[in-house]
Amino acid sequence: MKLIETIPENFEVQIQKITGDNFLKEKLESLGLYKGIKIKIIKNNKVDPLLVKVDNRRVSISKGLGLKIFVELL
Amino acid sequence: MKKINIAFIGNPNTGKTTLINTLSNSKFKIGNWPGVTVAKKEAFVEYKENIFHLVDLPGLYNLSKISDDEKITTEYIEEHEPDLYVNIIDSTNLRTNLLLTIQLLKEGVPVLLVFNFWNDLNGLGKQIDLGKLEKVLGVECISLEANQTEYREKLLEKINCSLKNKKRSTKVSSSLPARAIVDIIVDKVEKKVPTDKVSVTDKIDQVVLNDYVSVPIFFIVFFLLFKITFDGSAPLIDWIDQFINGFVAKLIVTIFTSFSVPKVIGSLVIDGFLVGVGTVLSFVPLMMFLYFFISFLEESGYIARVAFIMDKFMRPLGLQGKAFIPLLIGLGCNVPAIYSTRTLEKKNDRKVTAAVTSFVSCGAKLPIYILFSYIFFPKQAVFVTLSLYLLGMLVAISWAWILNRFIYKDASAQFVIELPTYRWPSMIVMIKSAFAQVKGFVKRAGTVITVVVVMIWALSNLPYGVSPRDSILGVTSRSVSPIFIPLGWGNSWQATASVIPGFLAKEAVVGSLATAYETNLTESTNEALTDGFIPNVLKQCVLLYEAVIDSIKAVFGGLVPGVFITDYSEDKKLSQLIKQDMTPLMAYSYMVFNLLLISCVAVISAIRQEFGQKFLWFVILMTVSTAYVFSFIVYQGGLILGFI
Repeated sequence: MKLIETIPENFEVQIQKITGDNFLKEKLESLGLYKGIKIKIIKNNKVDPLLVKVDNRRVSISKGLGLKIFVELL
Repeated sequence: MKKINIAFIGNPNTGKTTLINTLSNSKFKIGNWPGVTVAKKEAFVEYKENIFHLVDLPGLYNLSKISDDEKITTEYIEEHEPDLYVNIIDSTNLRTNLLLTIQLLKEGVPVLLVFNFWNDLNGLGKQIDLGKLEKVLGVECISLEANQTEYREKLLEKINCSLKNKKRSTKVSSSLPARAIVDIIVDKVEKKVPTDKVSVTDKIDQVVLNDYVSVPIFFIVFFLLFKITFDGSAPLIDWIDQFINGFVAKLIVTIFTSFSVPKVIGSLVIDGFLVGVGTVLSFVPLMMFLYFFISFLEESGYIARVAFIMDKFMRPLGLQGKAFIPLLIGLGCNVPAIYSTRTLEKKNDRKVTAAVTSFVSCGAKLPIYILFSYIFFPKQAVFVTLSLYLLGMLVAISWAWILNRFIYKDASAQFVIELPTYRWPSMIVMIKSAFAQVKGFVKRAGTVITVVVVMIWALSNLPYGVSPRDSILGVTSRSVSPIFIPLGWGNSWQATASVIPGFLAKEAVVGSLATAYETNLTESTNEALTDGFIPNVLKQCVLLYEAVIDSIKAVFGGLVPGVFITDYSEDKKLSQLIKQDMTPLMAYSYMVFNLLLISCVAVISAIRQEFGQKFLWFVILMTVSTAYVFSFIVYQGGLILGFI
C-alpha cells in the first residue's frame, strides 16, 4: 500500500484504505472515493491539491487529506 | 386546479436549477460550482389541469447529514411527502450519481429519473441502457439536456405520467448496502468502449490548472472581467444619466409648470427623488455587466477551479482553497456569499470566511468608486477602482489569518471538492441571472433608497427656508462629522450624511450624497423641455443607439481600460460640488471607508441567521473599526507622504 500523494500523475490506482476522522471520510465517500474504487491521478505536484478522476468526475483533494488515502497501483 | 408538489433532487452540478428554469421560466441563480442552491427554492408551472409546485433542493451526494446545505435536503425528505421526486442524474457519472438514487428508492418514495447531459455520453465512449435500468429499478426514466427548451413538453408529460402511475420502486429493498447495489446495476446497464480521446475539460484543465500559468490566467480573467464591465457600461451609464437629467427632469418641469404645481413638490420630486434615485439607477448597466460576467464564471465551471488554484496561497493563512469561492461570489453580492460558506465542512472555517467576506467589495459599492474616481482621478479611474478591490481582498485575507491564528484555531485547511465539467454557459441563462440580480438592485432603488433620499431631502430642507447647511440634516451631520475629520472627509457634512444610509444599502450612498449636495429648495435651476416631446424622444433614441455602439466598441476595443470616461469627470453639477469640498486624498479615504464597512442590512441579517447575534456584533465591530483605521491610515499616511 502506498500513500496517494506519492503516486505520479497519469497512474491508475485502487483505493485500499482511508484513515482519519469519519467526517472527511464520509465526505470523500459521498464524492465516490471509497475502498475498492479505481481512480486516476490527474495532477500531483508539490504545492497544489491533488486532482483525481473517479468515473467521469474530477475531484480535488487538499494536501493533508491526501495523507490519509492509501492505494495500490494498478 | 390541483396543486402538485414536485421536489427536484440530485448531486451538485447535475443541472437541477437549470432544469427548473427551463420548465418554469423562473429566474433562480444558476452556477456551475458545488453548492449554488444552498437554500430550498420554489417555482410554479401550470400544466394541463394541475399546478406543479417545483421545489429546488440543494444538491447532495448522499442522504447522510454532512454539511449544512445537505441538511436542508435530508430534513425536507423526513418532513415532507411530495407527490413526486424528480431525481436528476449526470449521465456521464452514472456510478457516482446512482448512490443517491438507490438511497432515495430505499426510502420508498415515488421517483422519476431524469438523465441530463445525455448527448455527452458519446464523446466518452459510454452507453446507458435506460430500458434495462427502468426494469431493474422499477421506476421511469427520461433522457434530456436540461438547458434546451425543446425537452420541456416531453418532461412535463413524463412528470404527468409518473404522477398517474404513482410508481414506487419495490425492487431496491434488498439488505445489500446502497453502494453494492450501485456497482451491480452499473455493471448491468452501462457499457464503456475505451477511448484515447482526451475530453475537452481535461484539455482545458491542462492549461487552466497548469503549474506555471494557472495564477497568471486567474489574474487575466479577473482583469478582463473588470475591464469589460467598466468600459462596456460607461457609455450606457452616461446615457441614463443624461436621460434622467436632460429629459425626465425637464419633462417633469414642463408638466409641473403647466399645472402650476407648488415649488416644494417640484423640488421634492426633482432635487430629492430624481437626483437621488436617478444617480443610483444610472449604475444599472454597470451591475448588469458585472453580474453577467460573474454568472459566466460560475456557470462555465471556472469558479470551482479557483479553489484548486488559490489553495497554495490560502493554506499558509490557515484557510482552505474552497474558502476562496465565497470571496469571489462576494464580488457580486455578499449575501449569497455568506450562504455559500455552507459548503465548507467545518463551522470555524465557515465563520472565518463569512466574517471576512464583508471586506470583499460587492457590486453595490462599485457606484461609489466609479463616481469618486471619475471625479478625482479621471485618467486612472479604472486603476484606482481596481486598487480598492485589491485592498479589500488583502484586508480580507489578513483578517482571515488573524482570526485563524488567534480565535478560531481549529479551523481545518482540508477539503475535498468536485471540479465540474466545463460547460459553455447558455446566453439566456446568464442574462436571466444578471436580470434577476439587477431586479433586486432596481427594487431597492424603488423602495429603500427612495425612502432614504426623500428623508435626506426633507431633513436637508427643514426647517423651511434655511440653507441646507443649517437644516436638521446639516446640523446633525456636522455634529457627528468631527469623528470623521481624522479621516479627511469629516469636513463635508454631506459625506457624513451619506455614510449612515449606507448601512441600509450601499446603493443609498451615492443617492444620499447626490441629494444632500444638490438639494436646493430656493432656486431650482432645472429648465423646461424645449423643441416638443416627440423630437426629444427621437433624440434620446439616437443617443441610446450611439451609447450601445460605443459600449460594444469598448468591450471589443483595446485592452487598456478606461477608453471611455463617464461624464462625472467633467462639468456635472454634482462633480463640481464634491470637488469644492474634497481633495483626491479625502476622496480615496472616503472610498476606503465605504469599501471596508459592512455592506448592508441584508448581509447583517444573513450573518445573524447563519451564526447568531453574538457573532454578528463581532463582525460589525470588526468591519467598522477596520474601516475607520484603514481610512485613517490612508488619509494621515497620504498627508505625510505629501499627497493632498
